Amino acid sequence: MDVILSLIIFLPLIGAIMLLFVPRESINTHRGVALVSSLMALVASLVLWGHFNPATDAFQFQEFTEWFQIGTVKIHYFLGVDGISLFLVILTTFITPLAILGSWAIRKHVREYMIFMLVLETGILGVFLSLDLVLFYLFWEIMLIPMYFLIGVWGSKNRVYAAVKFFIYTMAGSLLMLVGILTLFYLHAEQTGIQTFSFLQLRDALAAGELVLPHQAELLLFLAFGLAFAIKVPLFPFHTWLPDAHVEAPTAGSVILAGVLLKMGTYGLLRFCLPLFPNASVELAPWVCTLAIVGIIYGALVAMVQPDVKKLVAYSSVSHLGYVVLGIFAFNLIGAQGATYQMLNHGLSTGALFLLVGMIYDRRHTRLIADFGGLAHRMPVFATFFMIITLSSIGLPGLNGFVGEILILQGAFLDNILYGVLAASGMILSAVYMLWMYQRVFLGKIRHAENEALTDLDLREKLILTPIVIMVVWMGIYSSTFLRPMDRSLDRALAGVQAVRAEDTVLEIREARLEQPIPAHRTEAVPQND
Amino acid sequence: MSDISFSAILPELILCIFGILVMVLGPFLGRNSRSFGGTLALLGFATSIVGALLVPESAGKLFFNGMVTTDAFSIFFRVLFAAIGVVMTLGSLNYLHRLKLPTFEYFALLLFASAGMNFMVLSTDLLLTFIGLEILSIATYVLAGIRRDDAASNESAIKYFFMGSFSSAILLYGVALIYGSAHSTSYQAILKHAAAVNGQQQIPLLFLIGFGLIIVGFCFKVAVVPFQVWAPDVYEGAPTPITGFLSVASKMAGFAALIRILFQVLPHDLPQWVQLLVVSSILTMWIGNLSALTQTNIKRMLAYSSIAHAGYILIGIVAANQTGITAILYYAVAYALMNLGAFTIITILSGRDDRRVTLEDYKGIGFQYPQLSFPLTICLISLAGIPTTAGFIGKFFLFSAAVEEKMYLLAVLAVLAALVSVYYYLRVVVYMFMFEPDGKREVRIHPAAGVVVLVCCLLIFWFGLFPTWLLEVSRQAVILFLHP
Repeated sequence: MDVILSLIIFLPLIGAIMLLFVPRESINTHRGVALVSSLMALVASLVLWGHFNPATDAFQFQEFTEWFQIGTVKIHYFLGVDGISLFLVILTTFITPLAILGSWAIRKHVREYMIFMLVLETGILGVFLSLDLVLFYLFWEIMLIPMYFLIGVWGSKNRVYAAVKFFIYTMAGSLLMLVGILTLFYLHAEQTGIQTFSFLQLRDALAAGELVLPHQAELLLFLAFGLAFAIKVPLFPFHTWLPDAHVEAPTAGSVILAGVLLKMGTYGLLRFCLPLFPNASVELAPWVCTLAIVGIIYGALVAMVQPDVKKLVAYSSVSHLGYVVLGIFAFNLIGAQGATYQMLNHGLSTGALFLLVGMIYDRRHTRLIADFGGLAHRMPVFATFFMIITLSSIGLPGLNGFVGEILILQGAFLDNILYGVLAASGMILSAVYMLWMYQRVFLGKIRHAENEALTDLDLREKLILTPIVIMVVWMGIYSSTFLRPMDRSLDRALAGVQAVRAEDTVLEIREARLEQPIPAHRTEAVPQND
Repeated sequence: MSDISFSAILPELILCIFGILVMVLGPFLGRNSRSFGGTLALLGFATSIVGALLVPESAGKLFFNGMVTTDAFSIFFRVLFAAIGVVMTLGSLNYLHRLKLPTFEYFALLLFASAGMNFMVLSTDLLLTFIGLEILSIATYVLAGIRRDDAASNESAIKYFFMGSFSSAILLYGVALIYGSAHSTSYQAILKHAAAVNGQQQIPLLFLIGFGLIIVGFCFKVAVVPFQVWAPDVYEGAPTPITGFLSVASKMAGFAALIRILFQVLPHDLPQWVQLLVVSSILTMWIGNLSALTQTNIKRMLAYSSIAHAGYILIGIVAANQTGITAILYYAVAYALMNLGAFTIITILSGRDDRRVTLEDYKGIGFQYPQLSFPLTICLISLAGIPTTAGFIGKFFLFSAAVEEKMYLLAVLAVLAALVSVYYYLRVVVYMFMFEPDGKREVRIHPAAGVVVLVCCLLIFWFGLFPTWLLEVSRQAVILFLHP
């Protein structure tokens, strides 16, 4: 168990390296090797879950070795998992095999495609498991390359534009984060004499008051980290890369993008921004929450008018991720639970939606809503799966989406009633655009002759969707399986901001007391001399 | 004269002897033994590496009347230059054959150029530095114009010659002024003079102007803004392998000599040059990267890219701390690997007349020639500074040197410049992988060049993932600048 985290991260990479030695022509071997190595990562991550101790907020299964050094500056290979990252890891290892299984339509350069998929998985897993900031940055950046190729080579018409935009946008944020990481490192070294990139050491030094960030520096650092994460989430107004990337990417690319990649942003906010920069987080929370709510409503409204199903799902991601950010910046446990839960939900439901859209695209080579209609007659199984996922996505009680959204709304209401009200209105909008789309695609009469000949899902496609549906129902009915292991870690992640909040409240009460006019009876009590 | 020690200049002697051998034997052997010159050059460079490693390292002791040092810094660069020579030889064998260029002259000049670079880094006397620079320059003027029947190559050589002479003149004038002020050209004597003067009075104007001119002269050589205008034309016109050589080797030799002068000779309380170089560094990064954005000729694009990289290296110089100078040496190796790797691939793809160097020519070759396109991608990604490559580690420590000195603005402007560069490096990748090919073309990969490409790529990853050894070697090599 000592190296289980490394095993999880590098199993896909080993698969990718093995693929290099498989001859170009044997497509089925490529698919097989990719599928098996991603499934092995899934198994390893499930073993990890089995051994995970939910009763502690510490990072478990830590791996700590020296990686490289220059003079006295050491950079460590430092991994660890806690309740927040655990499920994101499992989400990644769960979605990737399904995405690979959903890529059978890829016939061009299958070997390279699978290699990039596996390298991508390694990168994402590394992001979730790294505790050294440089290592984190390394994985954060390295996963851009495979995604860039996946969009750019195997994407649809406008793919080059989308791929480059995706790359440049993400890189813009992360390069500033690099300066932020370095600044934090040198400030810490200056004040404590300890040179470390370890997230844990930096967090504890900040909590213990050994490292004090000047106010302005903290704000700038928060922005440097926050921008990288906000672009990835994507928070309005940094979302413009998302519709392009999601629409142009091949099916599996969109699935990974929406299902897992976006969570790297919200994970980063929760993992790094809140504990490292609590004062700045509290100070800027109103701004972040406002942007999140704008994103929720804007994303939903734009999704409503999309003629293209894939684009509709893409914009719905902007809206859904807005909820996650809102939940995180509500700074209470319920909100954070909801946010983390919603990350998983969104991964499942949006991942499934992209898979479903991909399946119909493979048959009809169009994604325009206007080209469909009445599909339920020809493809009942497909329609049923689509319905379940749609309902999950709009938060029907009994399915997973409901749990996440209700927790986030509760958290938002606790924080500020206005946030709660506005966010709740977004839920209504999401029901509108999803159900309206469903109606236009699946219900009514078949209007286009081409749709008469459509075949229903085959075994492979059912095999892809069934696990997701099972998870959707499980997470909707018995949420404590997933919520309980998160609690302690979330508490820990929120400790910093909650302390700042509490301090602010005390100060406010004090100020309020000072400002109160001196009670009237006391003035009266002063003895009158005349 | 007990300090005459031929073992101190062993690698240079080897290079010169092999250079003379190639030149003398060439005419006798004639045209039917083309590969002989290459073999001899290869042997020369390889022996020179061994020779450089055999040189007894001594930081304090000087040889040849205080003109030659054998400190770790000089040995680092002597090994690097000889290794670059090996790569150049292997990478250009097939090119020379393909274009029917005179091999003996080419390799002899390459050997002499290499010896010149060595003299630049081992010298502790302004005159010897200047002579080393001239040996290098004259050899490269000819190399740039070695395609005599090609107009672009001639243009390149002439431009390089004029700009080079111009900068040499400025440099020499600076040396003269320093001599006038310090009555010596030896680094030790100049430093002593500066320290003595500095104690009592203001540093004399003559001295300051002299140093200013020397710095300007080197800035011409390494092509940093505002002295960069010659570089794109020269790089574009020169034969492709020579472009690689100019952008890597002669640039690094210039930087090495500059570093020695700035940190070993210049009085440490002379902060004016820092301010100027900070501005120059920012401008170099931005002008280089922004100009590269619109280029359609890959050689020209990489010329601008190499200007930008000089800007990154300047960050290390202005930060002037251990991290910074160590990072420069690390970066010199990383930059040599990725740029020479890229140029070797470009050479292979450049076709019969060395003309297929536009982006259009790279359309769709990604999956046609994966054995070339993937290595080129690796080199470009490393140039862009994406993690797991050596380029990332180098940039990481250069930027961190700036942050360490609290030069936050410089660091932010540097990372944003790096962001701009990502666009044009990726553009090549876009052309290779994301466009359909125009048609099949004949590309033959000579085994020697193939080996070079493979080794470069492997080392890019090796030094990107396990950089400790190289960082430590670099740190050892610069220690002498930090504890004067």
